[in-house]
Amino acid sequence: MQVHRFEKVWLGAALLLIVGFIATIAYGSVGVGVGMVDDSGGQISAEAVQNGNTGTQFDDPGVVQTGEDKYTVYVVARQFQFVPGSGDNPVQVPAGANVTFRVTSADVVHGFSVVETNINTMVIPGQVSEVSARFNEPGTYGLICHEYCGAAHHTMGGSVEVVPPEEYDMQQENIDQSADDAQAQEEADQ
Amino acid sequence: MALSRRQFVGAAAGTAALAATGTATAQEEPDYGGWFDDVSNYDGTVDKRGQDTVTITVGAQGNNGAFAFDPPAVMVSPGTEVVWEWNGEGGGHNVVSDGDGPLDSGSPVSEAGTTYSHTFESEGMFKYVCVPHETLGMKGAVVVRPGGSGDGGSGGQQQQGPPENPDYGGWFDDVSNYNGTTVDRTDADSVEISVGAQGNNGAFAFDPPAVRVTPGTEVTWTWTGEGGGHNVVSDGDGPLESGDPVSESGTTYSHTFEEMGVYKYVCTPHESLGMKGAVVVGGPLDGSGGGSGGESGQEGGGIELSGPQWLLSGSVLLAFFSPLLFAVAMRRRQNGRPPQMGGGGELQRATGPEPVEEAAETEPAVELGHDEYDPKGTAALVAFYFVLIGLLWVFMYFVEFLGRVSIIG
Repeated sequence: MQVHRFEKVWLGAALLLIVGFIATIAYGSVGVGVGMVDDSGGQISAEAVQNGNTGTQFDDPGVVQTGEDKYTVYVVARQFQFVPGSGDNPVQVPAGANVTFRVTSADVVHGFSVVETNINTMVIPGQVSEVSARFNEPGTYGLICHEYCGAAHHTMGGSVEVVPPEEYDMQQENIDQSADDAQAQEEADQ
Repeated sequence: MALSRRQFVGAAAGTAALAATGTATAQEEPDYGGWFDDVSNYDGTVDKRGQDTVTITVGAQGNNGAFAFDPPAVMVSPGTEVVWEWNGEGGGHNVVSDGDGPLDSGSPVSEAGTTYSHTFESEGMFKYVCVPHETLGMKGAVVVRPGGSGDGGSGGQQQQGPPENPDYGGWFDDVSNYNGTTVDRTDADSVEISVGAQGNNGAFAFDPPAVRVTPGTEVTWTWTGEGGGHNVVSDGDGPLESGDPVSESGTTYSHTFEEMGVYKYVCTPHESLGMKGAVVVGGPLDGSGGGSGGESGQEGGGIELSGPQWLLSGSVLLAFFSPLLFAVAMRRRQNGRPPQMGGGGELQRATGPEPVEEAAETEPAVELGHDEYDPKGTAALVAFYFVLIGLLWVFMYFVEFLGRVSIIG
């Protein structure tokens, strides 16, 4: 069979392209460090999440500082809101820090997608979905549930606010301050 | 589907004796300003005044699931303790005031048996929601209003509004088509009265002349077109005023009666002939009220459509059958056209036992052969595709994907 010279050239080029695609993926995961969602989050009783007696941070979901520039955000997804995240209770994280989202569901399968980022995972009752990310620029990202979860699925959303680190620290101090004040007040009352 | 007010009044009257609760009558129904528009299980305010504690179920069936408060709207006396009790269905619920308000049960909980209570001391309207399910219509309201205690217990027995055959005070003495009974239409949402019906020595009557309806019923007068110009005007001071007499058939005039009472009306030009009528607005009559659909009044079973509904269903049907109509129209046009004979290789309609001859196979005018392989042209095309794929690859992976915040573990 006679194959034209040119045809040989683009057959070779096509093979190169495939090699290039694979190399790109390898570069993304090894060089850049793009991670995958796996089962590292572990398991949890959905009923306990629903009733708030898991004995973990999911009983009082929110942002927890776990180290220098390391934060863990505990989020409970339930019909039809993220706690925190939805309504006037956005997730607030500092820019530039390593933020780990630990998300679980109290009822049915939800989705957890931070819009315009690659943070995107299913939220399965009984399972903790764990994803880490670093937000370098301050800004506000949307947060949506992208797994149909019931009649008001379309209303289930929220936001992630990335604030400059200094501002974040100040806010935390204020919160701590007010908490201390409240405690002092309580003690004074007694 | 929400129960209509009359059904609710009927149901409430039926159950009132057992539940020892009354129904807020029409004039007492508070204005919620559209608060309950998307609440499927709202069908009026339940009057529980006079009770010390009132319980509201959280997670009751409604709003396409267990996303409702039951009862959604409740009226209580000042000082009443209202207890919200979770039934454990529909996920986590809470009770939080709409805007500024005293109610806040905290984070949503789902455990059955959870309770939250609040004692309402001051008068007013307290709207509240379940935050996670507000958009589904899980909303409620507590209206705190004094009075009403005591009448709840007897609410079941007592007939609301005027009696079955009110004393019209000789109003119908000269009305020939009034036979001494008031037609009971307390089971209908809308009632039609014909204007210009036979009676009073001509087409000078309202039919039925006397009709009983529940508060909130829309009464529509429909002109028959007979007996000259008629109108519908209240006797003395009243809400009815259809304007100058008109005679055109199909004219309608309607009024929705909210308050209980007896509404007498006349046709001004023919009042002296006995063209008079009355609408009695009151609760359902004993016997016919509690059941579903009384024996009197409308013949049950059929679907009743009002004007706009007719219009809507008509258009839907028309839209549905429009392809058929189109096909029929096309066919008629085709049939109307004289059959075209022969010529120009056009398709010919078989008109008779004409012998059909198979067309002879002819030589093709142009033979379509394979193009010669053009190595340079093909190479250019392939190169273009490669460039395109390469650009998309770089853009999608390096710009779109890696340019975003990524999962790093």
